[in-house]
Amino acid sequence: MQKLLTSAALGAALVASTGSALGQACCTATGSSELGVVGRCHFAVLATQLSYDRGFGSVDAHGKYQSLEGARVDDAVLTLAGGVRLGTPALQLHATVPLRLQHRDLRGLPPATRLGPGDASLGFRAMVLEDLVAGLDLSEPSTLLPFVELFVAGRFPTGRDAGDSDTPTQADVTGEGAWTALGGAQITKFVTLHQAIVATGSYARRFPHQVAGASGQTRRYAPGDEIDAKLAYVNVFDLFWSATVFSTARFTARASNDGVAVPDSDTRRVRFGAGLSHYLSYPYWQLTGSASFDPPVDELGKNVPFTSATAGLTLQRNFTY
Amino acid sequence: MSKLLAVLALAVLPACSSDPDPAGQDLAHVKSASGAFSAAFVPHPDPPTTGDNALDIALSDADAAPIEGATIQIEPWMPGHGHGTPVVPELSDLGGGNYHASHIDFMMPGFWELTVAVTVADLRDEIVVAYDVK
Repeated sequence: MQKLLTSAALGAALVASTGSALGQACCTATGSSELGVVGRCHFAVLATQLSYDRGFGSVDAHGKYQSLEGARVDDAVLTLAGGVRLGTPALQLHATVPLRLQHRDLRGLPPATRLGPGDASLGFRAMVLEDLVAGLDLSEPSTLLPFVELFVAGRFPTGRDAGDSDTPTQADVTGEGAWTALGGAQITKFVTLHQAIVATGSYARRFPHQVAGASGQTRRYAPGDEIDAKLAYVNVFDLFWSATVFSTARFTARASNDGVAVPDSDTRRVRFGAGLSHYLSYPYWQLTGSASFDPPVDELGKNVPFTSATAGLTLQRNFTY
Repeated sequence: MSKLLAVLALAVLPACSSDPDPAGQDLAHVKSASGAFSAAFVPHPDPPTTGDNALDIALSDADAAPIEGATIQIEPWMPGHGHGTPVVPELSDLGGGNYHASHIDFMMPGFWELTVAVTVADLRDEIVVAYDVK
């Protein structure tokens, strides 16, 4: 009986608050898919994410997958993130600061666990077009418009790079060592009142830097530029629950050493994942669980040192106007 | 459709095969950059794996005569990733032109290069040998 009353009350609340439900759908699809990005109907967000990444294989330069034998590769990452609107709802600034705990146990080497900061990022986003969040109606052209956000961001070498490592397993390598500037766009289209497709694409320029080998010899290393793509489907069940399935792809161009391109050093990585999000206290406290993995098959990836499965939990506090 | 794929495959194949395959070299006879030295390499384990590895080196001159008393330094390097390893390999001279390198740290799978710097008297040259580490 109590359940029936609760369901009836929730149903009545949903009927009475269609605007809020649409707002929530809008926020879910435009904010929570990216850590620290402010949802459409919020003013600011603070988030913390704890993720665990377990390596289980690798993919070589010919795209051949091989399981990881005699080795254990575990990463736990605590990321603090936040975002705030800049005077107008169309503009926002957001940032992430990761802290990484990494364990490496490789055959014949002493196992090591190290803690250190990862590479931080700072981004700026602008909403240039808005979806009516009314679902697609071919007789009404205005419903065809999607949300379109443009963004630029920087990643900074705040983590320890491989050249500064002092453990044989490089468990202490928590960053890329390169300054990175990226730009891209995200398109979000509500195909119904509660279902959205989100497509994101970005191009990143990774700047060259000096790296030192164990003997002290230095090289000028230029990591290849990077293209990232993400396609997601978001289903907003009700005021409190939403789910996402997504796929990500990352391509990097060939690296170069002292100006000479390194053959077969381009990379490709494709992952699949899903997430479930719940408002603990609408619209303020939101909890999101997610999982993703590299499919253990040939040809999908290329030059992936450690393929992995990742599970994450994100708690975020939204601030409204 | 299958014809189109075949044409595309033919178009792609020459580009792929033109890339050098560093793991495909003859490890029994690798010459230094100037040709002054040559060496035969036997990794342990064979093929190399992630973690701690060792290497036997038989060093000879251009006339295939063994070189004794050379100074050898080895630097592991992952060219595609732009990093090496913090572990410096240890070299021991076994005599008769044979050397043993231990503590070669391949800390992740992928293509690794070993730059073997050989110094004999005033002559210094490098031999680069590559391994596809699984």
